Amino acid sequence: MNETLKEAKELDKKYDLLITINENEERGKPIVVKDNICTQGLRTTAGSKILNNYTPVFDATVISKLKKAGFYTLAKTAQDEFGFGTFSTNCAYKTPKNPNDVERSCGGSSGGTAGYIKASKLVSYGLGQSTGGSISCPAAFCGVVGLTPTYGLVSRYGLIDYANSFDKIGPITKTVKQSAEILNIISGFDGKDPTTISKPAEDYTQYCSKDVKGYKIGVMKQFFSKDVPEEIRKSLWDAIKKLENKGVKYEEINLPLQDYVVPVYYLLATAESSTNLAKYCGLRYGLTKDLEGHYNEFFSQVREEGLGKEAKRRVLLGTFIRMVGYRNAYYLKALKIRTKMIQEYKKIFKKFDALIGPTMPVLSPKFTEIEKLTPVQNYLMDASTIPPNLTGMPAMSIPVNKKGLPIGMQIIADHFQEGKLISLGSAYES
Amino acid sequence: MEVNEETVRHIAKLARIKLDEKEVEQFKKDLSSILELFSKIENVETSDEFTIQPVESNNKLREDKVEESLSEEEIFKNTKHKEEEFFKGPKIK
Repeated sequence: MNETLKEAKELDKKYDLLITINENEERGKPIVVKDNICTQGLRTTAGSKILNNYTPVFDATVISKLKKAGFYTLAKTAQDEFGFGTFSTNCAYKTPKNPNDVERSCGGSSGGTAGYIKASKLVSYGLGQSTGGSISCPAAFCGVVGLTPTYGLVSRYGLIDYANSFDKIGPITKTVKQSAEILNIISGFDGKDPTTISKPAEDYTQYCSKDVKGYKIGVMKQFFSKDVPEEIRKSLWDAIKKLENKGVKYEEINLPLQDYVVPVYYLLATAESSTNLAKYCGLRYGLTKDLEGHYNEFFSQVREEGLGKEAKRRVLLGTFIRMVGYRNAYYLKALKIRTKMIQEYKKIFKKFDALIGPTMPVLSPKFTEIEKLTPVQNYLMDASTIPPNLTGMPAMSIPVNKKGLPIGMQIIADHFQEGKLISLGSAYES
Repeated sequence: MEVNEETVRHIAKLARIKLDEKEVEQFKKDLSSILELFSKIENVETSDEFTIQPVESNNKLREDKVEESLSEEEIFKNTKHKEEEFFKGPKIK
């Protein structure tokens, strides 16, 4: 057995990070991939029991592109079912443990990928996917780099969807430069995903060495409240001062509409996911039963058995929101606030190159603490990662402390300004 | 907003998810508190413009010609409910 495969088995045993390991000893550069990204011939479950036996007959576009660039999928990583979670604790299979402290969460929903990149000595590249913060959050809790691209920069073909107008595939790596390398490979228009954007290709690695002198950043004041642990606030200010020493100017700002981002996000994301999950009905793929009884009974039984508690909760919520009588008050209203938010953020980015704040309002919590959270308390944890995801803007989380539990700094930029994130991230790293 | 048991059963029926009594009770509680959080958005003043996709993209059409696609074997690889070249489903009546 080669060393990379051996390490995968050891790390999985120790931290429960992987759902499926690719046993073929493949050649090339290894990458670990979130389990909601289809890999031909390699089981893909999206962390759900309803896809327990699903083996795709095709590759997601990002996987085809990575293969062409010399990568192979080493393993599929543990995640919240369909991405429904902030802590990778809504899993049908394993709950990944944070390599920094096994009593704590890796963050979610791309928890397995982030945990693996932190723990591995041999693998530096991973793929995650974000709907409302699922790349940034685990990157912050595990202490690695996570880059959430602009909506539409990377093809979603072959991604098992959560909420189509939010979902983005992006890199989780050890360094900023490695994220730029992966973005070079996976970005670009794809005829199989009509929401991808046609624009000239960029070499994102060139931004790693770009001088950030004269950059203007907005420090997002709301994320530095007294409720946020002091060590997080201190690490962030130290990082901002480090950037200031490199010629970056900053100003503190208040984000518009911040009080509404959690409800608007969960309204839209659950409405979309309740329609997306309608396809899991036990016929063409996934969990099934013998064809007995009336079709409604058949579908309801398959879904009762195959979907976990949080998936059921979100499907019910999304179904409720879309019902006649509630659709205008909830769904349509949320879509209008989304427009307003994008317009307000566009105004901010006329003045600033980027926004900076802590990625998460807490250090990675213990599993025993997570168990006690109500659904509403749980959703509120996403308040700082939601804004870029709602507006479709790119964001990056990079680790900003060396000792203790990892702390992430989130940098947000305007649509298609990934280059600025990479420049600022690299300037901090160097 | 208060959600009652009847509503939970109704949406579960629409969503084709079978729930037991304990789940009905649990989701009644969860949904009520989540919808209370959602009701906050009433206060926001907006224009009538709404966003479906956060980044604008134009329609892109490909040329209308035959391309390679999955084989019959591949299409049915993940199901046991196959008859001839069809997916077989449960009875409608």
